[in-house]
Amino acid sequence: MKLFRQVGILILLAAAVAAGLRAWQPAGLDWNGPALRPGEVTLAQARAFARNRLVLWVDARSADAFAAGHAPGAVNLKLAAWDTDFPGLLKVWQPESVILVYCDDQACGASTAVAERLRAAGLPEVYVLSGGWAAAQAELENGKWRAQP
Amino acid sequence: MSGANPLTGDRRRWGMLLAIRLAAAVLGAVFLLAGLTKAEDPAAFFRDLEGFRIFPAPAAVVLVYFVPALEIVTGAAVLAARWRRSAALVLGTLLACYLIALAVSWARGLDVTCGCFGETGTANYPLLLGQDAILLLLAVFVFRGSASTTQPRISTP
Repeated sequence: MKLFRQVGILILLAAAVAAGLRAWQPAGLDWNGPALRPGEVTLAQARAFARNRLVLWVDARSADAFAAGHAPGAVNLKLAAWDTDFPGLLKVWQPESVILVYCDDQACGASTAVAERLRAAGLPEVYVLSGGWAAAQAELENGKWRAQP
Repeated sequence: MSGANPLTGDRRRWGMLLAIRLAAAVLGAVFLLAGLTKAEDPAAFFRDLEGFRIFPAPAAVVLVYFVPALEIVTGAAVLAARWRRSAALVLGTLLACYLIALAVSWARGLDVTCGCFGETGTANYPLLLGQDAILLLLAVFVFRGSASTTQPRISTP
């Protein structure tokens, strides 16, 4: 009985520490996961898009990073090489496409900048993948995601 | 010749005590470090949990805070030899859960990131299962050994 009482106290102590961690971190997680910025989608939402819609991945990372690995059917679109890269995107874009942009990770800003520019160019459905390549690499590289034909 | 040499028995007992302390130090340090790393970046740990596709978002958020806290508390308890047996029992249960989650994900063909120390990258399932199995053996050893060779240093409130 003493053993289980101690286990119970350890669990209660852990619950108190967990509550402290949540209170201590100002950018605590929302109950639906990390807070999303406007125009961002989670990997789970991207999965749902891929099931029901035509997804066109846009890789906003460097050419070297793109060459090392990218989402199926992704177009490499760098802000610095917009004039040369953007026509390549228009060749594969279809009006029903949902564009999902990613860069290295949650901290990089290239995907947000590219997404804003794509929206400004008049493309209707453009989202940024929260967590970027770091969050999605394992899933995107295993070939289970359908590439836009 | 009658009975065992008491010196040999003492040596064996001290050897066992040392082995338990070493096992507890490794077990406690690994979980304390793992818990602190996860607690540092809850969003990254959330994404790792999401990859297992076991928990809905609200449950995953609870686990994102509770699992590191439990690892920190029990890891520290094992290290500090406070309620070591109870903490080893909790850690053993946690490790059994991790092993089941990894095995299920492997069987489902999911490419998850471990989330063990907050690192990213594709999981090497055999390696992760092996690591967790070794840690589980350590937890069992500490749990069983602490019952026969150590006394609790503080009483329950």
